[in-house]
Amino acid sequence: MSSLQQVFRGRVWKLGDSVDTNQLAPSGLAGQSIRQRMREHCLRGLRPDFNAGVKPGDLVVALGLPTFAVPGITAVISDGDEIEIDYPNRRVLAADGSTLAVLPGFPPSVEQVYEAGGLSAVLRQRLAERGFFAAEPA
Amino acid sequence: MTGQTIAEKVMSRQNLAGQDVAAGDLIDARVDGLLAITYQHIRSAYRRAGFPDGPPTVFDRDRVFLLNEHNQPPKSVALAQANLQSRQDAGRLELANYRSEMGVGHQMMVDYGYVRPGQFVVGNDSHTISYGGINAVATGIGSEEAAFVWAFGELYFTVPETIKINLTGRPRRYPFGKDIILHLAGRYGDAFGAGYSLEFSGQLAADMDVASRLTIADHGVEVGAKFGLFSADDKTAAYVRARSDKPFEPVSADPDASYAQVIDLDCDTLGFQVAKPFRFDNVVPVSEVAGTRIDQARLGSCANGHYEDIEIAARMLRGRKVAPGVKFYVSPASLPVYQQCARDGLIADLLEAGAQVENPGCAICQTPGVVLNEEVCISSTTRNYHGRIGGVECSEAQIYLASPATVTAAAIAGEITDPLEFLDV
Repeated sequence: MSSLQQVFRGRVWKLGDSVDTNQLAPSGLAGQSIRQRMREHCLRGLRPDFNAGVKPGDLVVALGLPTFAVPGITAVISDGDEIEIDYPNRRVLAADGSTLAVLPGFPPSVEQVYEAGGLSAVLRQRLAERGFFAAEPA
Repeated sequence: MTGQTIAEKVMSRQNLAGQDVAAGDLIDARVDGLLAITYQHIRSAYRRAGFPDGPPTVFDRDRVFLLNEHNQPPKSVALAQANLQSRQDAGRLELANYRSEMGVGHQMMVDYGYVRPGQFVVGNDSHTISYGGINAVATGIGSEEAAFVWAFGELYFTVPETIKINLTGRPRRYPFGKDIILHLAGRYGDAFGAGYSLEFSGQLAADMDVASRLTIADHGVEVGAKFGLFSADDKTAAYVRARSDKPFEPVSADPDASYAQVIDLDCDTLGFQVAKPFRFDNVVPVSEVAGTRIDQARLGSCANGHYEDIEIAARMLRGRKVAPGVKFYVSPASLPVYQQCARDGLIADLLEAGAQVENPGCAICQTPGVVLNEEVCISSTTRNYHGRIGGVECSEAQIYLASPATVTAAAIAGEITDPLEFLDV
């Protein structure tokens, strides 16, 4: 099942309306191959408890430098909420099933990214269409 | 249909679906150019996609600008190898615009005429936004996205809403862009532009030089913006024609364009501004922090490493000395800027006064530069968050951001002070 056909449910980490790349990779770590230190420091400026508390399946709600924004999303969601992202029906739902926000429609390339499982996979696919084949499985 | 903003016009032209667009539309768009720096990250994206030998192709050998400028000279074997790979890949793909030289990529993009008014340009660095100072719609993207653009020349975008900022007030005889954008950040917060295109207009925008426009556009990203745009005028045209013989078509907003917000800022009485640690929007008038002792002063970066920024420092330092115990690092933002400064005697002025002239490059603004936890630095560079200059071991180092004149005045006085006493204005 592709990501666009899935419904995501999870606990919200609400990180506010000003998340920049320096919050993601703070303190001069950006661009360095220090993955463990990146894990320790990612988002610590906004939420010191993020590193220890985040779990697979959690959802981060924030406004930073988005490629696509969900208008009004940070105003209607609180930290710790359980929410559902229902892309097939273009809705963000609260635990009681009420609609919190409407998701935008994506252009073809973004749907392709979701279907393929990431931009890297699309890069591989589109290069193959032009006769450039990956030398090794990704 | 209402009129269009600059962003809407340019993105309509670039829309692969061939339709006019409006704010909020999600589109696939072709780009006019890609700035590629820190190439090892783009190459890593190709390795993850199954191409360990680097990109197998390029969308247009004339429109990918591979600037190998971050590690000049390389300080490790790994970085030297990365530089070698960039040179080899540029040769293999016959890139027309490959440069391996010290500098700040964004200054090099304008210095070498790689970006021109009306274009739609992306780059794998957030300060790509600075080209809005010469009317190019430009924004930063990630390295994985850059790898995709490298091969296909297109990417997905949201057409942003636009905030119009009317600047009025008397022009200054010294670089004043930093003070304007710091004041805006202080008044409205460092997220007031988040996700928006900013259009700077008004008489003061028209009166200011291109360097100040580039400074303001560059800092658009510090207030969260996607684009930071100025209209093109005769000054823009002269600036670009001095650097490129290629044609360009400036784009201006329609008179009836729709704006999410209009901000009117009268800068007539605006004084020098300083951002205190550790945020870009922690801004006060210079008088509120006057007397703060400093250990370092830094002048340079994509924001304020222009010729005009170096010139004001040299002008202020003539007949004066850097204060004892203060290190004043000055880094022209590119080799062409450095050369012009040298030709005009500015480098000699700086050295005579006791400044330390550094290689053009990004080190002036961040690690591997170091400001210790025990030290205070005032800098014309871009960011002052915890550890920006020195990393996690220096996360309490105090970095103040200010204009070139304010930085230079502090270097002379040994403490933060109003630069007016050193300016002949």
